[in-house]
Amino acid sequence: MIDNASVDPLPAAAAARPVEKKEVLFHGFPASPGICRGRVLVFGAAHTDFHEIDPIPIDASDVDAEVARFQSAIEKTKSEIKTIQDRMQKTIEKRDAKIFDAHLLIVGDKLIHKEVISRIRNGLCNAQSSFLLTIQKYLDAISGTNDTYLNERAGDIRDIANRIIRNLNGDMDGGPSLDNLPENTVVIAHDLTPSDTAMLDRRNILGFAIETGSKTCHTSILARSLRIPAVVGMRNIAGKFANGDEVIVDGFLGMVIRNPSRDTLAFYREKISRKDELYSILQKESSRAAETTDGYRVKLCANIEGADDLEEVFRCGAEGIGLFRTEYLFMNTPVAPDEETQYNIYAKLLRAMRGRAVTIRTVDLGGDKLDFASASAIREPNPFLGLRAIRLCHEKPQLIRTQLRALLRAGTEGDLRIMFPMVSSLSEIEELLAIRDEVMGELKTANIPFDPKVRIGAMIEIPSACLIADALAAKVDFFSIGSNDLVQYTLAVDRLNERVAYLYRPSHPAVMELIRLTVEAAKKHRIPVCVCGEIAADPRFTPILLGLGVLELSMSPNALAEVRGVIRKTSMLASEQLAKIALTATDPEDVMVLSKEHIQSVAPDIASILG
Amino acid sequence: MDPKNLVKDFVVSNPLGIHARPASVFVQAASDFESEISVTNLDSGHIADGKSVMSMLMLSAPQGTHLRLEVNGRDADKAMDVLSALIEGGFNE
Repeated sequence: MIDNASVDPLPAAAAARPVEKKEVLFHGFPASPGICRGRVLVFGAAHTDFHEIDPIPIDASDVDAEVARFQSAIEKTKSEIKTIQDRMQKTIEKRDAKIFDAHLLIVGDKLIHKEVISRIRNGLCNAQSSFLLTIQKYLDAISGTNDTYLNERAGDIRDIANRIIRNLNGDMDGGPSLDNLPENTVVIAHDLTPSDTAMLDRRNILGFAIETGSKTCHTSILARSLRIPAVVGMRNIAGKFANGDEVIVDGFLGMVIRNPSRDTLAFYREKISRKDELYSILQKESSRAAETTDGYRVKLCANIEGADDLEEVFRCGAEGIGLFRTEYLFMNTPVAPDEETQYNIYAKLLRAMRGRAVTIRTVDLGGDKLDFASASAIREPNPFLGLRAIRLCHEKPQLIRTQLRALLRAGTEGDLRIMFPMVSSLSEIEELLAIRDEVMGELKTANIPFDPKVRIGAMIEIPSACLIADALAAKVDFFSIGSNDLVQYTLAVDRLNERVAYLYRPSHPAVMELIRLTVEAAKKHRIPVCVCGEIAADPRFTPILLGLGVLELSMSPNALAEVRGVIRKTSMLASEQLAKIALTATDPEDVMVLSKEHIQSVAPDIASILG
Repeated sequence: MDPKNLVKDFVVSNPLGIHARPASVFVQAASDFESEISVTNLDSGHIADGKSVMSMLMLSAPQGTHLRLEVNGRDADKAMDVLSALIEGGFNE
């Protein structure tokens, strides 16, 4: 394997004779499964460091062209912000789209223009460095103040500056932008913000590779919902890729291969065609019951982010929606969406699902992620252990109340279940149920129709919740195990932190035991229990989970075909044996190997496409 | 009309002070006038161009800051009316 450090750029002279460019491997973490081959678009040219700026000199004869380039980048940036503003106006109130007016004013600020143009004309610097030197002066001044609010706004200015720089760079390459990609594009970036992904050209993107991954998983979730491969946490890739480079993204192994050799291409071509073939076979089975060979029925549901994914939900044959995340409604907006906006989204979803079960999770964000709360937000040293999700019900009671009102009202349109994330104690559930009762009382008094029978569930993702599952099960109507957080909290591992990611082992016997306890409590109280984390989408885990008594799985729609295929080939008897091993294994990897062997023996075609 | 120079002092009343939103509301309003408009933070001595949002942001004017608004030009009367109403009204926050 070739190390990142040994990147060896092809000397220009070699272009004289046709030589195969050197193949280079880059490693990151697998974020969304799949394999693709495409052409690179470097987005944002890497993260701009505003502190290390060298003026780049230009010739006096280029001055006019540089000024024109700067002005057209400004115009392009303005029109991009207007596009985002238009899109956002559909989900937030008009008055609050004002923050984008502030962004537009910053982009169009005459003082900055004057200073940049003077640096270009008098200092003979190129547009990028003139702009960066100017903006840095302002950022320094703002950061120097003790005003927390202004300090936070420095982040806005940095975002805007990055956007302008991106447009200046793009302009220089004559390069395309995210909303208008050439065919077969693989986007390589330092990071993609929610506003970047909102404008993404979804028809032409084949895969992602990004440098970050420790901050937000937004890109990975998006990639999974688009069913395209993604690799995150790729260190130091900035400058190692150029637009148009040929790459393979392997979302199973978490790898990007630049200039793949003929052998590599042949290897992957074979893998891709085998996969396509298998997928088309599995897709045909989408209407068949997910039933084991010895007659156990498993309910398969889909996880979705937005109502756009519904077509996929029907195509993959999901019986319902096991997890509808509502975070995207609250991100990147200066205010929380009002009750009516939320009601319309939920009601539309329920109607579209025509009576099938839909589980909607109340907003699962930290206070720091809520833009509209940022004036009072405190940067927490441990956001994962901090004020987030249902814990915000004291500091921001209106947030959960408004969402509950909208949900209960929408409940009349179909089979709705409401799920509360981050439950760690019984009193939290009691409080939330009391809030629910109050909200129902208000609706009743106001004569607003709602469904009083909407089922309420607890997301089980904190070890303490598993250990008191018996008490929780007596209070709620269902459980949903969020395995991603459960693994992180149980093993004290941030899986996006590449230095400890090797300890992130979902098959750890401690995790298995916590799942077993949860299932046992649910069975005792006769409430359903679903697993909706990533292990639900990993066919290697399917028999283990069945063996632990989990008969409901919810996953991204693209994973359903394989999981259904494994269920239809396996038996509960074999599954229970695997579960028993998982509960007592000394090495969490052992049971994964055994499970893969099991799949190999009952469904070799599916085993062949596993990572 | 002859150019006029008008000066008026204020105290910032809105709780968050002059942050991005008030600054942009002010700059949008100020840009409608041909008069030159400057805002001085009397506590720090910093002077801002009332038609530049960056400049206004750098005033660093939290609640309670003493401000001086200076308007100079042919539509100074109208500008002073509109802009002082904005500041006194807490920037419609």
